[in-house]
Order: sequence, then structure tokens, then C-alpha cells
Amino acid sequence: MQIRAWLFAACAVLTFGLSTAHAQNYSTGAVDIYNACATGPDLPQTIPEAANVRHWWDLARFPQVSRWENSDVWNTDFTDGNGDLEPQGGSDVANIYFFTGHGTCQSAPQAADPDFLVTCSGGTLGSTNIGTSSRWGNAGGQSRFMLLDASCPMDLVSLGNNWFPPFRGLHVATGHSGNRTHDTLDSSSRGDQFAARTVGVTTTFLGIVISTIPKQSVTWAWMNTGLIDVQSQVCAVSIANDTTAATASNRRDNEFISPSFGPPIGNWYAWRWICS
Amino acid sequence: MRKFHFIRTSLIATLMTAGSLTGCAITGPADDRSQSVLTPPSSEAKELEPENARLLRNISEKVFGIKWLGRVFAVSDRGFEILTDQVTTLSYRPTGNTFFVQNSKASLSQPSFEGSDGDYIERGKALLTGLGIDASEIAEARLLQQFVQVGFSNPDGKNSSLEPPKKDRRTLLITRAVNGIPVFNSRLIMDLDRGEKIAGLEITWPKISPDVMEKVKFLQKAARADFKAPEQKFAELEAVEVGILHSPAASFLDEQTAAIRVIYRSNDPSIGKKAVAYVDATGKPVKMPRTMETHESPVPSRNQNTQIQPSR
Repeated sequence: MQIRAWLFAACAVLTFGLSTAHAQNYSTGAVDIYNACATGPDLPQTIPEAANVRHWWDLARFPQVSRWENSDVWNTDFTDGNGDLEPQGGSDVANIYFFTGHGTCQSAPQAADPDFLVTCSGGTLGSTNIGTSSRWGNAGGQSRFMLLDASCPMDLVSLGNNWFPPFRGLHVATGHSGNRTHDTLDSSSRGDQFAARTVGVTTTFLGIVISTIPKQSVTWAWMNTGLIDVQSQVCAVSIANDTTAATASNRRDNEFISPSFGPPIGNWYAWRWICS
Repeated sequence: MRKFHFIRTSLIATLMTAGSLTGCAITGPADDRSQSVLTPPSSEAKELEPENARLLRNISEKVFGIKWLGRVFAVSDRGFEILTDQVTTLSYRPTGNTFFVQNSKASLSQPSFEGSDGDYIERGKALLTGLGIDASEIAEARLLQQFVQVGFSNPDGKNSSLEPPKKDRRTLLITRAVNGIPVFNSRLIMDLDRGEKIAGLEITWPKISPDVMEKVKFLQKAARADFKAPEQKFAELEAVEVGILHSPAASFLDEQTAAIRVIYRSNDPSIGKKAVAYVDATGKPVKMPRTMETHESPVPSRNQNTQIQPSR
């Protein structure tokens, strides 16, 4: 009996040690108040959504880098250079960044149309053109996972123009494709359930790690949760980068948020989507 | 649905603390000023009571079609009851009538179910029937087609070429309505593998309390009568609908309520993501069902001195 107890304790500690060794650090940025920038509507579910995301990642013992809200989320946080490396909350400082707020949508997106993230800080509306301004994982940037809940920042028709360039070490990015009449709804559940699935919950019994809430690859988690609270014809999209079509596809389908794969090198991109 | 017992203690939390003390804790660039304070649910895995284990195993085999291999562990923890042979895991949260099935060897890259859409949907409906769920509560059953695509960018980064998109696996989604009232958080979502086994499944379909159903009736009357949706600046009303909310599948709590869901679209046609308010008959926000009990410290304001001039 004593041996069993010793084994249990040793395995539990070992398991804990292994899990933390793979822990990623993360940041969240959530914007509710847009009226201060003379636009809208405000998005009251974004603040609780980001909090829900944090709860799961905190439960997984991921170190938190920042959790800014409203005017403390700056548009420059998503701009390559000094902005996205700004140590308080740049989006390239942490391994994982979850953003929830407004984006932009076209009525009929075209390949040349840009994708934007929209912030509201200091009374000024900030729109970051992802394809031209955002680069993640470069110049000392640590970003591996860019997880966006911002309307249509990942339009399928323009992925090559808007989402190939930002990958500069980034592993996987998730977002939505849609249009003005088929859009995401402000939701506290979507990010919540997505985050839960990226880390899952385990328990240890007789030294065996058992899943109570399943942990899925980033893409699978997004395929299962990205369509929560969306209108019809909205697509949940996940894109990854790697050396070849095969390795990019493998990363897209099988990379977990923790432990993650090694850094990608190459200029192949693979993406997967599912539509409501 | 049958009743089960849960036992909750704090052994795992103690072990996690011990892990920190043994030097396993990660050190990273976490900013203490913005660190949240979380009270995670207490945890202790215990062997599931034999009768509950027997009932759950019966469901796993007869309803979900799981063929267990080797020793099957039956465990309870934080409101979940779990069976696993270390490859396939069925976890069940009785209070939320929530089920997860996961095959640890499954991957999105693997071949998936090749049968007809009709067969796929019937399989999903049969699961719900097997769990004692009334077919009248199925709002919609749909196969969601997944697609994959690859592309390449030239080293100059200016030109890219894309291969044609390909159809990939299908995912079954079944949504719920009770007496025609949508239950926003209830669903079945399932991926089958080529061998027709479950690669991944989530069902959350809790019994809706009589109190909530009464509240639904009240809200329906209000929505038809003098309900006035709260105003949203720079936005216009798009839809008003009475529905039921409950704690989603991945939860440690089970709460539910009825609400009027109000959807707004921006007056600026380029602004995306539609605002949603869940309100009572007077237009006040309802308390949203939670997933776990948490406490976060407030965040001090960000130091503006380091901000680069924002621009549109």
C-alpha cells in the first residue's frame, strides 16, 4: 500500500512537472467599448470571453503576460516592430495571444481586400491591416499562436495576401471568414470553450493521467468551437506554416498549444475550415 | 436520467502546489501587475462507485459503441465520471448531462467516415435517443463539411500560389430547441473515423428546470408585448429572440437561465462582429451561466508613456 502511495505521488509530481515544462505564456486583449471612438456597437461579451479564456489557461498553469481591456488594447500591439514587441502587451511578446473585439467585413470579400483588427484607445479608432502591418515571431517575437475572435479577419478568398506574410515564426493562427450579412456574434462562450479544448483538463488516478475534458489540437479545437454563436455561412479557419505542404498540413492538423511543435521554417501554408 | 454521486476534495490542488515546490513551476516573462488570481476547482480522482461504473460502461458500449481494450479505469473527479482504457476516454458530467468521447490516437489528418450524410445524421440521432433524449428537442441536424487547402509563397513574399481546395472530413452538429425555444448552449458535435467509430464527440443536453421554462413563457409574453430592447449607440437592432442559456459542455458548474437575446449590427457597414445582449423583460442584462468559480484581481491601467501614436 505504501509503495502504491509513493508511486502515485511520484507520478503525479512528474506529470505536473512535464505539463509545466511545456507551458506557454499568453496574453489576452479584449475590447468592449467602441462608442468612445464614435463607432459601435460596443461588445459586452468580449470582456467576459477573454476572462473565460484566461481561466482555462490559468488552470493549465500557463504564465500570463498581459490581459488588457478596452483602451488599454492598442492598435500598435498588432503592428510589427516596436508596437508588437511593446513589453506591456504587444501581441508578439507572449507565445499565445487571444484577441476579441471588432474586425472588418466586406459585403463580398475579394482577394485584394485587407483584413483588419479594430481597437479603440484614447478616443481614437485603430484599424490594423494584418496583411501589411502584422508580423509575428520575428525580431525576437515569441508568438506561436495568434487566436482572433474578431468577425472576419481571416477571409478565405484573401488568405494568400493577408495571412502568408504575418507568419515569421508563428505556428498557427485561427479566425473567421464571413461577410457583412453572415457574421460572428459577440459571445462569451466561443473563446471560453475553445480555450478549454486547447488545454483540456486531466486528473491523475493511480499514476495514470486521465482526461476529463478532452484536449485537442489547436485546429481541431477551433473546428469544434469556432462556430459557436455565429450566423449561417460563417467559417472557422485555421492556418499553419511550415517547410512543405505535408509538414504544414501536419502542423495545421496536429499541433497542440502545449506541448507545441518546434518553430516552423519555410513558406508553405496549410489551412482548414468549416462553415456553419 | 439516473442519479450519480460526486465527491470533491483538494488532493490534486495539493499535488500541484507540491509540484511548484519541487521546482517544476515555469519561470517566464509573466507580469505580476497583470497576473490574475484564479481559484481553480478542487480536484481529487477517486474510483467510481461500482454501480455508477457499471451503468456508465453500459452506456458506453450500448449507446456510444465503444469497444474497450484491456483494463478500464472508472474514475470520478470534479463532477465528472470517467471511463478510460488509456486510448478511448468517455467522460460524463451528470448535472450538465454532458458527454465527451475522445480517442487519443485520433487525428484530423486521418481518414474519416465515408458513409452518407443520412447515415451520419441517423447515427447522431441514435446517440441522443439512446441517452433518453426526446427527438422533439432536435432543432436541426447538419453535416458541416470541412475543407483543406495549401499554398506557397515565393521567397520574395510578393507572389503566392494556391492549390485548389479539397473536401475533407464532415462533422455532425445537432442543435436543440425545447418547445420551439432555442437552447443556445446545447448541442451534439461529433467526428466519426473511417471505421465508423467516434473520433471525437461532445454532447451537452441538460434537463431544463421548470423554473427556467416558466421564465421562458414570461419572456415570450414580454417580447411580444411591451419589451423595449436596450439601445446601442452606432448600431441598429437586427433580431430579438427568447432562448435558454446554460453552462457549456466544458464546465465545472451547471447553471441555466432564460433570456431575451438581442442582436445588433453596426451602422458602419465595414465594422464586423454583431453585438449581443442577453436581457430580462426589463432590458437588464441577465447573469450569464458560468463554467467555473473564479476571482480575478482588477488590472491597473496600462502605462501610456510607451504607446506609439495610434493611427487608423
